[in-house]
Amino acid sequence: MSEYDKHLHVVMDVIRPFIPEDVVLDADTLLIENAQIDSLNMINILLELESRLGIQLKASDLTFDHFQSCRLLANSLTQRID
Amino acid sequence: MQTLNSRPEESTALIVDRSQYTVAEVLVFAKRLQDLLSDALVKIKKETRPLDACFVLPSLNPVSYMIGFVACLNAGVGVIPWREQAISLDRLMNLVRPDGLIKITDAPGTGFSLELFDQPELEFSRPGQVVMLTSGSTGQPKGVTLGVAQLIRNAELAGSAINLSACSKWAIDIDMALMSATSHMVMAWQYDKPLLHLLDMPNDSSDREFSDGCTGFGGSPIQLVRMSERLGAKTQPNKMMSSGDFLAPAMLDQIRTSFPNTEIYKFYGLTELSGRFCFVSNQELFKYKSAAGRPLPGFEVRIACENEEGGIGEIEAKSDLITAGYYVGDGQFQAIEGDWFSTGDIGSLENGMLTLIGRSDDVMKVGGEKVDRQTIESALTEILYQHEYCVLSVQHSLFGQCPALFIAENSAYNIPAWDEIVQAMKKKLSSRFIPSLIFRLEEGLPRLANGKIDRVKLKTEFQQYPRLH
Repeated sequence: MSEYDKHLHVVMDVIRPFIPEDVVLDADTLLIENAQIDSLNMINILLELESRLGIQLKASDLTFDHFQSCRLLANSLTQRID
Repeated sequence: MQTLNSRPEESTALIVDRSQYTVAEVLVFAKRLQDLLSDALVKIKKETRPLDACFVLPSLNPVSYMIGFVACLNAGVGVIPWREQAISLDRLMNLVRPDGLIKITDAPGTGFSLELFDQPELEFSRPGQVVMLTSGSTGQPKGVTLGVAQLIRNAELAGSAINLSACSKWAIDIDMALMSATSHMVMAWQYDKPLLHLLDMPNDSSDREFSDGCTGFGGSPIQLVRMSERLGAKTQPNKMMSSGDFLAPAMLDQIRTSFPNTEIYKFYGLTELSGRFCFVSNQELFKYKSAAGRPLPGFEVRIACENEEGGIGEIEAKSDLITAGYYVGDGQFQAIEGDWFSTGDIGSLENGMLTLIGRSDDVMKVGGEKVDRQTIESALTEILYQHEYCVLSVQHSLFGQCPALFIAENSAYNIPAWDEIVQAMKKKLSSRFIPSLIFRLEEGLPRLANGKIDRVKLKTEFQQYPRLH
């Protein structure tokens, strides 16, 4: 499993409890448009990812762009960690 | 000088693991200690103003605590209930400047000696006779001074509110030096009821003690919930009194499920108000599940806010039972001024019923909107009722104020997973109420000398605790 795959797995695990039960989560689910992820959820998700992945967040992480989908978020995290 | 009621000598005063003590026995042992205290007063030249003398009373042994407490009150000397494991003697000595320490000299806890301290003179006459240790608003311990008459009156009001006369005995399960336990002890004494101390008592013995159907129990909400583990399915207390922490609706439902026929009373109080302040009767409890209650007789309550009735603001109390002030260390005493005492709690008042929102310093802003920890803690009770936990605002380097949840590990129950907690919260409240950080504490929640959660330690050292995933 690549680093990206590992990160995608963690990202989906962390995001899942924040989305409505009737929304099916996959790597490309539109998190803000279709899964009701708001800015406050984003903070909680980032804080959890910070802990699980052992990274330190920066102000630049707090953009809606990264939160379009799990795939985009996992990508940005993988690039940062590399 | 007021002291505890005279009781029939043959009455049982205290029941502990495998032993029980009659009032006569307690008074005989207390008289021996009184004699030691009287001799000590002569030695330290305080015989003319005995209330200026003050002794530390350790609470490790419930028997010695009860005897020591009675002896101090009867001898007219001040008493400082001391949880040895919670505050060092050095710190306590700096805080209240006691004249001596009451030491237990035998295993049952009925023999005593005194260790006298060479303390600098205080520059004021000691008000009150009982000094209870509290955390203080800054997290630094304070000694709250209370008069014996205040303590007794408050305990009697609580006993009347729950109709303690209908109980055969009254049980507790906490360290005797805590304000709540001391209130329970005085209440049981005044109503001539045996105090049943469950600490270290095996479950089968507890079950037997409650089997008469007339035994009441007082404790914190989590203790009330856990009584179902201690008692058999057919055994129920006839009354339960919740105090100390806020009894949230979900916890109340849990207790009701375990004990459908038990009368439940919810109390809200502060050490500074001699113990109990407001209560919700068994009759009203399920109608006002979220309420803190109506004031006990002798207390007035108001909300310090500019709005009309129903507005939210700081809760203030007025009563003769308010403390005279605090010992703050280095021989200093801070007197309470004015008729109205600010509790530091936030709430609202409607038709005489007080509802508690949280502590004034527990309101945080998340996403530009106010969030109070009481709301979060209440919502968590359904999923965390088997655990000790608290929510505090912590400062994250990037996000600023965040609600953080601290959960104590518990050998009997696993902590629910992070995603279960988030999901449970998501179903109940909007996003800003979901704790941003969730920590698990292997050693339990840190406590102050008075048994309350050490919030300052949690808020300043939160990063050292492991996160829950």
